[in-house]
Order: sequence, then C-alpha cells, then structure tokens
Amino acid sequence: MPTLEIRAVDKTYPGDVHALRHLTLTIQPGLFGLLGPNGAGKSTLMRTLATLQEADSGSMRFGNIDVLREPDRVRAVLGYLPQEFGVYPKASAEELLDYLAILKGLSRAGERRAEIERLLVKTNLWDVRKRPMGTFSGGMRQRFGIAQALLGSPRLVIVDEPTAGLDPEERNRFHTLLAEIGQDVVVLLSTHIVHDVEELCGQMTVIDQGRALVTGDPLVLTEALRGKVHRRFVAPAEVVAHPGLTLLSSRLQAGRPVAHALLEEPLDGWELIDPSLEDVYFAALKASRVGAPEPTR
Amino acid sequence: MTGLIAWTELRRNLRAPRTLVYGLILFAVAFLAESALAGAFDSVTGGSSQGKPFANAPGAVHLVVSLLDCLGLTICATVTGEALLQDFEHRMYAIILATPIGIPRYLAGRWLGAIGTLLVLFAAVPLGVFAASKMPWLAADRLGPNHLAYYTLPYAVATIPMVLFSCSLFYGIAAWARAMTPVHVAGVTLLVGYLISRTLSDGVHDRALAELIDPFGLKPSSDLTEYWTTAQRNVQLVVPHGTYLWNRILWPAIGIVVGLIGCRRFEPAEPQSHVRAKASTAPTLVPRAHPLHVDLSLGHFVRHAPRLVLSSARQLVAARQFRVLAVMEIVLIAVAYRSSGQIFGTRTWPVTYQMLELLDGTMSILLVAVASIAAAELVFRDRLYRMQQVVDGLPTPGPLHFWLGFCSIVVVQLVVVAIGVALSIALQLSTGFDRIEPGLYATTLLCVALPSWLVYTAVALVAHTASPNRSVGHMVLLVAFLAPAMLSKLGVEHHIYLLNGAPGYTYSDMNRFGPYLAPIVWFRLYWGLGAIVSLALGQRLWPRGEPRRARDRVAAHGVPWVALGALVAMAGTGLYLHHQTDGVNRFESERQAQRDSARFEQTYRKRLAEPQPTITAVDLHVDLWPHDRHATLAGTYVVRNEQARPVATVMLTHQVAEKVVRLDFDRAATVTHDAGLGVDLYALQQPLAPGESMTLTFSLEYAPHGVHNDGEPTSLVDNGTFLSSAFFPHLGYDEGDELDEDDVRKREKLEPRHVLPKPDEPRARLRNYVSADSNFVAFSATVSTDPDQTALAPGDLDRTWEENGRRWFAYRAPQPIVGFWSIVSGRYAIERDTSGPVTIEIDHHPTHRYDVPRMMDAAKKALADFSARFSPYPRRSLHIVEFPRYASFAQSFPSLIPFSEGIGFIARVDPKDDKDIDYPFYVTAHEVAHQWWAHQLIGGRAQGATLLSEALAQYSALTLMKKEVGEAQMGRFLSYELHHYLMGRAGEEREEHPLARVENQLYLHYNKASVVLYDLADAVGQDAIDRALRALLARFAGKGPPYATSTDLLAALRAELPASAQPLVTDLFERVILWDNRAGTATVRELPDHRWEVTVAATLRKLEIDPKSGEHDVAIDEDVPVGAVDAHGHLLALQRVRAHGTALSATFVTKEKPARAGVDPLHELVDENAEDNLIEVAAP
Repeated sequence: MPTLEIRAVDKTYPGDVHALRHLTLTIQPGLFGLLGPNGAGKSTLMRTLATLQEADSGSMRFGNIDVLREPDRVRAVLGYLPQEFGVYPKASAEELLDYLAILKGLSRAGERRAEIERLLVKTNLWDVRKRPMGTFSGGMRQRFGIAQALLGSPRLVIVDEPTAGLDPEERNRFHTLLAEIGQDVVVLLSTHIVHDVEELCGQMTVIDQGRALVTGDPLVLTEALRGKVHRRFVAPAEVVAHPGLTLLSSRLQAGRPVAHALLEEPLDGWELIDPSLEDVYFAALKASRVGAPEPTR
Repeated sequence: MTGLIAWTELRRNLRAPRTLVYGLILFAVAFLAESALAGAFDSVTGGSSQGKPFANAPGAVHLVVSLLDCLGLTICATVTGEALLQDFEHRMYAIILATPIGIPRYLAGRWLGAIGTLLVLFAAVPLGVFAASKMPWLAADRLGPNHLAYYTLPYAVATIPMVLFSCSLFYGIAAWARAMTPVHVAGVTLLVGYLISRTLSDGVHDRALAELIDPFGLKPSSDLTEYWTTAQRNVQLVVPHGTYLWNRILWPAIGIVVGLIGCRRFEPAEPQSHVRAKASTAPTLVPRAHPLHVDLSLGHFVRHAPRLVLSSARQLVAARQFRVLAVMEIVLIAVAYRSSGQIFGTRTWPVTYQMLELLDGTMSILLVAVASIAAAELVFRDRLYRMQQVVDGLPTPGPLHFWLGFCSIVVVQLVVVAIGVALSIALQLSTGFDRIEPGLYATTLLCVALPSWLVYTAVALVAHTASPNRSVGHMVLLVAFLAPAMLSKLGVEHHIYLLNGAPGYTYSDMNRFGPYLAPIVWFRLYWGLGAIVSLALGQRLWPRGEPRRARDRVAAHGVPWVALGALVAMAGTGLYLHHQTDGVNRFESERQAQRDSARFEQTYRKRLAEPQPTITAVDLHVDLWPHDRHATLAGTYVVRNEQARPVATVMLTHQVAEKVVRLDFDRAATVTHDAGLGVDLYALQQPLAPGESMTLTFSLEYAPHGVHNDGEPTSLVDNGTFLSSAFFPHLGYDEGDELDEDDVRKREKLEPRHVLPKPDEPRARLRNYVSADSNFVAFSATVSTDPDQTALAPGDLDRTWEENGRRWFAYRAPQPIVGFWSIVSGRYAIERDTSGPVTIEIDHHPTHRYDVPRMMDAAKKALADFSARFSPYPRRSLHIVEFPRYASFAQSFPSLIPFSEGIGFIARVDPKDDKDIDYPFYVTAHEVAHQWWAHQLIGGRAQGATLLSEALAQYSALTLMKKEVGEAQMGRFLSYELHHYLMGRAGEEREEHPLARVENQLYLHYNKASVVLYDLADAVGQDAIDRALRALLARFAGKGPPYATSTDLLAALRAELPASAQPLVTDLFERVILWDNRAGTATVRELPDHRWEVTVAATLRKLEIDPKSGEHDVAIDEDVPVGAVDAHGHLLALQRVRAHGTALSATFVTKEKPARAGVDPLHELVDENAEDNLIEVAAP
C-alpha cells in the first residue's frame, strides 16, 4: 500500500503568515490524526494535499504520485471532505451522488448504482435519499459529505474537521464509518478534538505553527508520559513556579479548577494520574512554545 | 431610532465607492442620451432633427428621465437588497437583531435609508440631462430655454414614484426571501417584462387600463402628449392628470403594500425544516465482488455529458426564479398574441411566421436574462452553497464544469423555447387555424434564432466567470446587449463590429427565407466563432482551487490554441463578409448615401435648365430567371423633344447595381459615364430638334448576389419578383430624389430645399407628380420567366406561350398610361372571375386563400360601382397579384395591383363581429379606385397633387364601404383615421398645410382626407361630389400637360355645390380646422309610440390653425352631426343640426332606447379629443 510522504513543505500567505514551515511527515495506510489548535496549518496542509492550492516549496508524494506536480493523478485517487462545505439545496442525496460518481469516473451504470446504494446505506441516508438536501440536519449533511468522499474507492481520504458541530450520537456513527474505511487506505483526519484521534487513529501528529511537533502511535506517545503527569485542584493563578514543573493545562472539573502538569519528581499537593492523549497534545504544544509567556507567576 | 438607522444607512451608502460609480453611470448615460437627442452625433450618423422638438423641451426631458429611471432598476434592486441583506450575508444579523431596537424599527430604518440613497442617486439623471444641454458643442437651434421646472417636475412625477415603488417592492421581496438572488431576479424580470410589454401594449384597446398598468408611467405620459405638435412640446410641461396622475399614485402604493407584506413575513432566523423521512427497507449490503471500474478518459466524460448536463439543468429549472421567468414568458406571449398582427383592429390568421416573430420578440430578451441568471447561478452556486472544494477536488478534466455549465444553460433555454412553442401552437389551434408548420418552427428557432442567442449565452457565462460577483456579471451582459444599439447611434453601422450584429431578415410564406439565407448563415458563423473564442478563453477563467487573479488563471493554461484557431477563422469570416458587403456589394452608411445624393444634386441639377426629351412609347423585353436571381431588362423607348429648343445632351440614369449591356440612341453620341451615381450623359452629334423623335434601345443586367450589410435587395427573388420602373433607365434630372431635411441639406452645403410649386402656378401643370420624364405613354411589355411562374405587367394580356422551356407573356395597354409600371413574377394559384365585362384575376400564394373571396368581391363591386359613378373602366382585365411581405403596401398600376402578403392575404375578418374592419375589402377598393384616380386623372407636380389621387381613392373606397357595411362600422374606421391624422400632425416636421396644398404627407392625403371627404359626402350628398369628379375626368383623363391641380378639383366641387356649402369646402380643403366637441348632457324619454326622444346638449369649439398667427377660435354657424348609439355601439340615429355658436342643443327620435348620445358619433369632424363626444343618456 502506498504511503504519503511529505517533505519540507513550506507555504506562506500574503501578509507574511507562515502556514507551513518545513513540514515533514510520513503517513502509513490507516487512520492518521492531525491534531492542532486553530490556525496551526492543518487546513492548509489538507487543501494542498487535495490539490486545491499550491505549496511554495518542498515535496509531497503519494506512492508514485508527485502530489504537487500531478494534481490530476491525485484527484483520481482522492476522497475529500472539506472543513466547510454545503450542498445544492434542491438536489437529493441520490441525485447528487450520481452526479459526483460520474465525475469520479464511475462509468458503468450498474456499478455506479450499487456503489451509491452501498454508501447511502452505510451512511444511514437510505431513507432520506430522495429528499432535497436543503432540509438535511448538520449531521445528515456531514454523513453525505463522507459518502461523497468515499465514492469510487479512493486511496487517499482527507477529512477536515469532520466532527465539528455534531452531537455525540452522530459523532459515534461518524467514527464507526471512518474506522471501517481506514483499513487499507490512507485516511488523514484533521481535528482539534483530542477524543477523535484517541478513538480512531493508529498514528497521529501534533501540528502547530506549521510544524509537526510529535508524531507516532497515540498509545505509545501516551505511555511515554506515564509517571510524569500530575494533577492538582487549584486555580492556575495559584500554581507556584517550581523547577521541573511544566504546567500543561488548566480546566474545570465539576466546577473546581484542576491543573495538569508534568513533574520530574513528585511534589506536594500534586497527584500522579494516568496520562491521556490530551496531556500529550498539551505537552507537545508547551514544548514548542518554550519562551512563550507561562501562566505562572 | 428609526430615523437614526435610516440616516446611518444613507451615510454609509453615500460614502461607499460603488454608490459614486452608480451615480456616475446614471449621469453619464443621461448626458449621452441628451447629447444624442440634441443631435451631437448627427454629423456621423446622418441623422436629422428636422422639425423635432428642442432636446431640452419639457416633454423630452420628461421622457429621458422616465426611461433612464426604468433602466436604473437593476441599481434599485442592488441598493435595496443590500440595505436589508448585508447583515445576513455577513452573518451579522443575529447580533444586530439581539439589540433592543426591535425588528419593525430596524426594517423601517433600512427601508427609509434605501429610499433616501436611491433618491439622491437618481437625481444624477436630470443633472446629466441639464449638463448636456449646456454643452457648447451642441447646435444652438436644437436647444430651447432651460427652466428649473423642466427638470424638477419629471423628478417629482417620474423618479420619486418609481423609487418608492421599486424600492418598496424589492425590499418586500428581500425581507420575504432573505436572499439576494430573488431580488436580482425580480429586478431583471421587471425590466425585461416591462421592455417587452411596452412594445406590445400598443395593441391593448382598453387605453385607460393600458395606461394604468404601466408601472413607470411611460405609456400614460406618452399618451398625454401624443397629439402635441412640436410647438406645444417645446413649452408645455407634462403635468400629470387623469389616468397618469392615478398611475403615479397607484404604483408607489402597490410597492409599499408589497413591502409591508414582505416585512410582515420577515423571519430573522434561518428557515428550519423538520420533514420526517418515510422509512423504507434498505438493501442488504453485499461486499463488492470486483474492484470498481474507474474510467477518467475524455470519452467517459463525453459519454456521460448528457446525463451531467441534464442533472445540472434540472437544478437550474427547479429554482424558484426559473418558475417566475416561465410564468412571465407565458403571460408575455399571451399578451403579445392578443395584440399582434392587427390592422384597423382586425386580427390576422396566426400563420407560423407571425407566431415566430412574436416568439422571437418575446423570448430573445428573456433568453438573455435566462442566460445571465443561469450563468450567475452556475458560477456562484458552488461558492454560495460551499460545494466548491468538493467539486474542485474531483478528478475531472480542467474546464469540464465550464462546458457542462454552458450546455446546461442551453438546455434551460431550450426549455424556455419549448414552452413558447407549445403555447404558440396551442394559440394557433385555438383559433381554428390548422396549418401548423413544425419544420418552420424548428428551422427558425433552432437554426436561425438559437445560434444568435448562444452568442449571448457565451458572453453571459464568460462575463460571470470573470466577474467577482453577480451584479458585475449582470451589468457586463446588459452593456454587451445594449452597446450595439448605442454604437449604431454613434455611427458604427457595420454588423461585423456590433456584438452579435446581423442584418435583419423577413420571412415570407411566398419566398421563405429567400435572399436572407446567405447573410443569416455567414453572420451566424462569424459570431458563432466569436462565441467560441470567448468560451475558449473563458474556460481558463473558471475558478479551481484557491482564488487567483484572472490574469494568473489565464496564464496557467499556456497557449490558447482553440481560441487562436477560432479567432483566425473568425477573422477570415469577417474579411470574407467585409469583402462581400463592401467589395462585391456596396455598403452605404446613411451618411454616405446623403453625400451621394448631395453630389448628384450639385453635379446634375443644372441640367434642369437644359431641354430633355420626353418618353412617348415604352416597349419592354424582360427576361427573368427568378430562381437564379438574374434578369435582363431590355426594351426601347421612343423619346420626343416636346420643348421649344433642340436637345443637345441627354442625361440617362440607371441603378448603380445594374450592368449596362446596351444603352444607346439611334443616332451617334459621345457618352460620359458617372458609374458611381449611375448617370450617363449623351452629347448628341446631331441635336434632337423640337417635335422630332428618336429611339433609345437598352439592355441592363440585374443579378443581386453576395451578402449586404444593410439588408438584401428583395425586388428580384425566387418567388414573388416585383421590379418597379425604377429598375429601368430614366431621362433627365428628377427633383424628387433630392435630400429633403433642411439640416441635412445645410450639412451637405446644399442650397435650401426646392419647394413644390403652389397649385395655382403655371409650372404646376407642366409634368405629373409620378414620372418626371414622361406623360402618358404607349406601353407594351413581353416578359419571360421560369416555367413554373406567372409573370405580370400593366395592361391586358395579349398572349402567353411556352418556348425553350420558359413561359412568355405579352401585355399591352390599349390606351396610353402614366409612365409608371412594374413587372411581377411568382408561382401562383389563380382565382379568375369572368362573370362581368372585366376579367378579374387574383394571383395568390396557394396557401393564402383566406381573403381571396373578399378581395374578389371588393374588386367586382368597386369596378362596377366606380364604372357607373365615374367613367367606364378602360381595359378588359384587372390583376391583383400577391408579392412577398418585404413591403407592406398595395400599389396600383394600369390593370395590375401588386398587393403585399402582409396586408390582406391573411386577414381574419369575423363577419359576425361588427367591430372588425374588413380591410382586405377596403384596400382592394382603394387600389381599384386608383385605376381612375392617378391612372386617368393625375395631378401636376405641385402641392395638392395627391388630393387628386390618394384622397379621391379614399373617398371612392369609403363610399363603397359605407354602402356595403353601413354607417356604424364607418365610425370605427373614421376613429382610426382621426387618430392617425392627429398623430401625424403631431409629428409634422414643417407645417401642416390645408389639404389643397398637401405635400405627399400620408396623414393628410389618407387619414385627414378620409374624415373630411366622408364629412363632405354626408353634408352635401355623394351625388354632387360624383358629378364634380365626372366633370374633372372629362376634362383631364388621360391627358397632360397641362395637368390638373387641386385648384381644379375645388372649382369642380364648388360648381356643383350650393352657396351654403361653399364655406364648408373652404374649411375642409383650404384651412386647417380642428374641432373640440364635447357632449354635456343627454336625456331620453319614451314616446307614446314606444320610440325614444333624445335631447342632447353639447359644447362645440372650432379652431383654425394658422401657420403665421397660431391657433384661434372660429365662429360656428353650420350643420353639425348629432346622434345616438345603443349599448353595443350600434348607431341608432345620425342627423345634422344647425349650430350657432359654441352651445348646441338638439332633439331627435330613435326607434330603440339609446345608451349614449351626443355630437358627431361617427367622427366626421376633425376633433382633437373624440372620446368625449358621447355621454351616457339619463332620464330627464
């Protein structure tokens, strides 16, 4: 199975905004999570992979396809669910899928019909396949999005923040769908929701300011923090700076402020806990932003 | 608070750069329109302002302002829509509506703000007009004094109501739909619908209704001023009253109501739908047996293109705006159909070409609108619905979506066309007409019209693809659509430079597309290649991926080979067309034609002083090959010197397009040619002595071919050739060909125009007004033509034979005829009547048999009646022959009446409907009457000449019609004549002469003469007039010079009439009299014998129009008609009563109870305002 190789890709927008800085990643078949805060460069990376924009320098290869130079070959194997997308309100799901299927090269009518049926059932849109999509809820629309992305058995699937705005049930259904396809193709999932990656991805990277910070198996990365992550029910302002203490995050739990921190050694008042992927995420961000103002005094 | 919102909105708008742009556009268009009106471009275009009102006359300013207001609708739509929807587009509405101002005040504020903005913007129009009127380069005589009221009144009467109406309407739609698209669609729809319906509303008979339903008030304001003369137009303000005033109140009110309804339905939240889907059993999933077959070859996309196009077109058709357009189309076609093809209010059979002209007129603007709306939808829907990224990431070849889009617009347009055709066929069938021609529908719409519509479709798609938003795209298309008309106003007349330009064509049942086929094909090809160039470039602009500048998008594709190839082909076609129109043929702009005329006059007018011979005998030998469009016009003229001095040099003229094979006299001469003007000067070696004759033998070749820029010559065609005597050589200089307009003559540096002699001058009698080089001539003609055709010429048919596979016809006139003839040939079905002393033949197109019986009936009755009343008909045959509708007239030659297929052969006169005027009967009778009036009695070339021909032909036809149909129908006929007279005098360029001095003005010798002669016959009796005409014939028929003038007619009339009728003759023929009569009261009472006594009181006013002293009241002391009609308008009583002074009262008796009574029910008096002559009767 082809892998996706991203080598030293740079992209600068007008106004000196560095979206990607020498980004380098190797992505194996399976679900790959791209985790990062807003503005980290996730969407730029995904749009570039989806041939919708160009990079300034660097290279991207998918198997033997040069992504930056052979957009047509990429599009032939691509399934893409953009971050913000809509549908023609008057069209029905079945009609629009047929339209897109032809555009994806499914030239045999029987096969096309079977494929559309399969996707409609899989995405649980069968009952509403003839309804104008203007009447769809956000979740239905998102499921349609994944259905169109999976049309024509793509080998490179790119889904950009697909679960934003979905209720938990819709989100679970969506995850099941993604997990099913992620067996033997490259699925690149961008999200800022740590749980999505936790539940779905065998590999991930944390990206910030256009750079990949850590890359690997989420479980391995989490395990690597074992014995280091501590918590304390305390407001962030009250955390006293201490050598060997890195404040990871601070949030509320049942109304009480709780802080997570990395500790080299146990410290009074801090309780050792099992590390989570969220801790990995914050640890990576923190490590990359050394020198940035700390929430400590 | 509302005020504050409105003020904020207004200030925001006035600071926005686009408001400035809109304002500048309005100002510039107004400036240009006014400059054109003031004749700024006349020297380029050859236009003339002869007798037109000042460019800044109040009515002219009013018209420019009203018209531009209406064209500014798209601006209204944009400004209004944005006022409300900007918050939605920027997703700000939730924040704004959460503030405590409340929805009603928010809506009201934005509404007022939009109205304020538009009122400021549209002030640019009167300002632009005013600025133009102050420009120093305009001719001073085109401009009158300026008054503030000339500009403020139109602003108050036209602009303010228009802004209130359209702004409120659009606001309501915006609030209702909360989207910009419906607002744009409403704007385009209103504009397009209005422009189309304007051209159709002329046929709506209910005038008040037609005036009321015009939302921009153009119809009522033009009706209000339609009879105004130039002098009135120059000073009179268009102050609304009556229907116009109501109109100006009604439309703002309608707009505001729609606005309020829209606001009531305004919902700030996104519409939510909670449709539950019906559950159905989902198919069981079976794993795929084989990997999917994916085919991304071009072949795959081409094979599936129909399916993709249909799917995309279905999306377009499903949109609400399409339904609006379809409904509008149906309404427009129905309205257009109601008023189409009427002559004197009588309908025609809905022949297919007529329905196609109607469809073309209705649909072509509509299809451009469809193209623009659909193209905008296609280009912007992916962005609007955020489908763009999905679509852009598909493995489709680059420009696939562009081409799919183009094809799907075409499919939508075909749906519009199909709706139109279905409706059109249904309308045809509904009248019982069954000669539907599906082939003609297909050819005209798909092969002729569609290619030209596709050019706009291509422009629309490219314009929207290249535009940042819909408004710009629509604007570009509007400019592209209107620019050719504007450019041609600026003197660009060649169609290869005017977008989608092509010479117009006329389809004829007789001759089909005839000579127009070649220009249609070539110009369609030329612009079709242009469309390919723009599409080939436009496809590169189709956005894919991140937004890029248009320049970069184009550059990304490398060399545009297709576009280059098409451009080269287009250039080649253009060169070929240029060669055809300017090399093979001669393209004369109007200005060039004027220069040629001027040169002709400057070079040759001096020959008038030299004696020229006169033609005394004509023998023609004409060989026609109509199918090949080739003719040999040969023959001999016997010419005689009828003057006192010898003729040394003969001037001969012929058409420039003809090739001279032979043109010589039977004596030696030195010839000078002027090929550019078609003039040859023959210096005779031995001058032609007075009284001496010689023979001119000629042979000219005429074969029109190639492509012309300004319409094809249609005299020599496959079926329906009609060659007039202008195609034969002529002698001497004809003053009739001189330029007429004073300003054009001045521009060409010619001396002031040569006025016609007065009727009592001796030189008025020297030559007749029809032929300059002959008097009455002996005439014979031998014509050969294709074997399936019949050829006709004046005179009786001597013999006909077949020889060498061609048909030959020999005609001869038993007595000399006026030197004015024609040759006709076509494939005819012949209807012959030999029952009377004269053989009557109607040669008509085989399918045009509808009115042949009426025409035959009219011809028989007219011949019998006129022979009895005036003098025996001098020949043994009369031929009425149909010619193609390239011209819409019938014309009389001795024994020969060519009659256009457009004005009588497809009339649908309903004999049961007494409102229908039987115009085939009327036209036939008029033309038969010319066999006496013009072909026996002909006027000298002087003022009043046509009184002896056209006016007397009208008299003869009207008196015959009156005998046939009764007086009631004559009233309707006379009301049309009166209307056309009043319209005609309003458009008079110089001064209105009395009838006795008419200078060939149609509105006088046809329309006024009808009314006046009907009045005279009613007042003094037909017999007295007929006696006078017989006396005139006895003196002048078939003779001349000296020729008769109107003086002789008046003398003959006066001799037959009693002293009491003499002032009437003076009033009718020697003065310009206008009446303004009005019924005051009408009461009715039943008599014991069940009859009804009607008492009428009316106010009379009689005005004399004097060119020097203006108009003044004239004392009334004469008989005036009074009468009554029933509820259906049938005449119950008509009698003349003596009127002294302005108050008239009369009592008379009717058999049935009248509904309306009053003065002059039949419109026999020339009444300025004929609508108030009758009033509802009341009990005493």
